[in-house]
Amino acid sequence: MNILLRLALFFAGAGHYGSYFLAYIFETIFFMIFVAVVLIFTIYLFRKYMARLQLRYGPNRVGKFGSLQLIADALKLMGKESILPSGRDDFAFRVAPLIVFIGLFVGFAIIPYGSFYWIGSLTITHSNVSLLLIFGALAIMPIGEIVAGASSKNKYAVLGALRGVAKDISFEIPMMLSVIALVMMASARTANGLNLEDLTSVQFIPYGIPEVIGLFVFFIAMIARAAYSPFDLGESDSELVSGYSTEYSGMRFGMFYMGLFGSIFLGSMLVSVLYLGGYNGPFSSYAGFIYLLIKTLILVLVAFLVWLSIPRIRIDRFVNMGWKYLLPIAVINLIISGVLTLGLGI
Amino acid sequence: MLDGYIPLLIVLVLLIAGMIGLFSVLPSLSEGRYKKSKGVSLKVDDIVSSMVREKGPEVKDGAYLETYESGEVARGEIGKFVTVQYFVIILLFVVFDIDIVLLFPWAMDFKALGILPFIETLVFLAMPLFIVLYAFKEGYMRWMK
Repeated sequence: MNILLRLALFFAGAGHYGSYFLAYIFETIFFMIFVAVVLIFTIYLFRKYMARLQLRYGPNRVGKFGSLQLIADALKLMGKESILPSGRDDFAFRVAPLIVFIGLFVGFAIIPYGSFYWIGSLTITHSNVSLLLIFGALAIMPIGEIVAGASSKNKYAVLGALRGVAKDISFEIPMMLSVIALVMMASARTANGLNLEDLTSVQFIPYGIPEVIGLFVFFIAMIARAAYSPFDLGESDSELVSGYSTEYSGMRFGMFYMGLFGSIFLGSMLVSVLYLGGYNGPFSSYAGFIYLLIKTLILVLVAFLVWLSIPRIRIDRFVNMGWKYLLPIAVINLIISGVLTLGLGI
Repeated sequence: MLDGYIPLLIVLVLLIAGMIGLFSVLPSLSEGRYKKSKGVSLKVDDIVSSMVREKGPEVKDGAYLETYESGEVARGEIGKFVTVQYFVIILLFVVFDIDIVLLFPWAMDFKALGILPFIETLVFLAMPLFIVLYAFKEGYMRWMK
């Protein structure tokens, strides 16, 4: 049983095709509301957590514990003027925030969410190659940043976009190598290791335990992918004004901002699905979704801690880190997991 | 089989429609405060639009739309001087990425294929790793040679 069938039963009065049509539409709308809530909650959590680490109070005026602060911020951003600079490449400038946003939503749509209470499975996209699909969706978001930097015809923005490219491609290879190690391990148990649902359901022992190195490499690569503080070379605000988003203001800037926080949450969710067992746990047919959220929240807090405690590194050290350290470590991890799979049959 | 992808399609359609709607409805996104001076207008449309939309005063200074470069007047052209190091990194990436695409089908059947393809794959992986080693020896990882 999954959410689609439940909704189709609920709309059974509309006939066979009508009920499924309504079920698909409402399933997607519920999903989009969930992502919007996640985005707002992540930004609120970040501001509260940063305030606590810096011995401040954080937002505490609007609503109870400042919980409505983000709604107020969103309304403010919508009301603000979005300045379109005169030298821009018009279509690319307008479409760049949308690319980031769409990549984010598509990425969220592919995650296997597990079951919740009597509804059953909450996963909305059922694909046999969802692992490849989600990395494709993750690769869309940097394109938006590059288009933004190149189209605003600003020196800082162009530099930010170039650094963003270097950042993305330096960490892509170790990330994909650690994922390949994961698929190798899963090949002992399932015939289709490229399906995230299968890959999660065979993790009786979370793959983070036999593949500690892979988890380490993948988490660092996800942090670099999301582009926050140790790796925020694309928008390093003390050198380049604000990198690729220099010329953006108003709601268009807000989309980049939400894309950043969304990609932190999405990356943490992906790490918990691939390495920490995702929705697996005791009574996972009733509370799998809750387990996934708890694991993701812990990883999000770790990611915020990294963000708030490590200063930005220089671009050459950064590229070094990807190619000189993480890449050999990822290859070693590949060899170790191959030996484990062939030798011990884990 | 393809019905698993329908929600993805609906997400795309809803997002694009929603964004187009948002961008055309919100005056802050669709049009700016910068207007060339038209003088006083007594047309009904202009009066209504200035009454309905609570906007700030219109800006008539051309510097309002110039690129922001920390207060300096923007000079010169962009994109003329790009460090060649970026190019080398991108070449390395292309070499490796093709390699990794070819590894996925092997990884799916890893357990069934056994030990010999594993060793062959390690040799296959060693070739692009050698290229990275070469670039490292040549000093491209040091950014400024």
